[in-house]
Amino acid sequence: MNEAEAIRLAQQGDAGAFERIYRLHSRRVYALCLRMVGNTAEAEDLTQDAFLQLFRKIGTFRGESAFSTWLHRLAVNVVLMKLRKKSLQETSLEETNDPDDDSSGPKREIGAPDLLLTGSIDRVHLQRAIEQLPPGYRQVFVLHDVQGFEHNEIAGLMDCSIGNSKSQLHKARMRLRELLQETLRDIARQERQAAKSGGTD
Amino acid sequence: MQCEQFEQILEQQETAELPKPALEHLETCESCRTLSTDLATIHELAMELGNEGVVPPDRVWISLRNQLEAEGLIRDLQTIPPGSSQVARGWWSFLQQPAIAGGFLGLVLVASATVGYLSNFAQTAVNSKLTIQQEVSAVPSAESVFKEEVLTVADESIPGLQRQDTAVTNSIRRNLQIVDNFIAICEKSVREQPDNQMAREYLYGAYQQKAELLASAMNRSMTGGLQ
Repeated sequence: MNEAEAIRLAQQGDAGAFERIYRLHSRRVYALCLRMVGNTAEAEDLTQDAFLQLFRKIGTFRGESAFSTWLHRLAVNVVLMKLRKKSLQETSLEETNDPDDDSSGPKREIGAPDLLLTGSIDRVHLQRAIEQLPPGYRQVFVLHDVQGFEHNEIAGLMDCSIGNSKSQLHKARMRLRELLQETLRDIARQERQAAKSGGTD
Repeated sequence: MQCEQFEQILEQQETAELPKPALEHLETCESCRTLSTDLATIHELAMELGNEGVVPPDRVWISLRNQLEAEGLIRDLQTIPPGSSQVARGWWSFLQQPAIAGGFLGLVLVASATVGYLSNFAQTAVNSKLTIQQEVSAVPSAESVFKEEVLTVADESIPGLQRQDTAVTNSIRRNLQIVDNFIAICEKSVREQPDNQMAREYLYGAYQQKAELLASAMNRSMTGGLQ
């Protein structure tokens, strides 16, 4: 059963078609939710909510846009709405919400060594760093760099200007760089300690 | 160009789109070159994250499916056994749509109500109907008790009907056949999915319709019809 057929049958209420659509798209939607909220239980709830809304509205899908785009936008809206409702933290892009960031622009660490991240970090490190980002930064970063949304789309989804989206993305990347550099320093420190303790044995 | 200016440009544009002055700055400034490389590394890793398969646990689909069933958004064609005829499948597909099922049951109800209006319902059948209405909500054993009762009434009613007006008798027989078919389909569904509350409710509804039809049929046989 291809996607178009699955959509047609799902519009008639066919259970198998619903499951087919779910299997086709659940990974991407779940990944989006997981990276936006950084919590598996919440990500599962959000994934369910997103598909529930999708299936409630599937009868209105007329095929003018790509189904995956439609679904993905819907999923993003579900996540953003949930985050707003929960008021975890201020998510407005009109103001800086990184408690560590007291300047309007990205910081440069004067005198700090420039640790080249290339070849030293992997996806696991990055995932952990993303989870430490303030929600506003994390949302823009996930939407743009992980999910591939354009700034104009993010601006529409998050009700902010394109300039703000770009600014938040840059700050998010700079903050990630700092976090990853800290990770590299921790790793180097642990290796030195291991070498020391190995030498004393 | 100063490093701060370079960063401002970097904020607005991706590395690949940097203007010539920024590129010239990159060639001479190691710090900005490292920054630019790091940000590109982060971007590349993020894209890999986006392509990485993260599989939601099966409980998400199970929970979602239960919710969809509870809302009546989905129906399951697989509840019909493989050996069933195409006609039965068609019936099942047709009847599983809530609006159609409701309409169908409504038609049966109207038919039985019309017949009932023309004659008086037997008190015993009314009592049976009330009993079923009270037990529709849950008790599984009520299903078998009621079924037995309905079949007994059917055996007693139909022969009596044969002596009455042929057109009305045929009409009631056709309606009974329709309801019987529906009951058979519902029973299969309930046997295969005992926890499916919707199938159970359809079954009780069908029993109820049959009780009403039989009540009117029995009454006709007792009173001698409308002649």
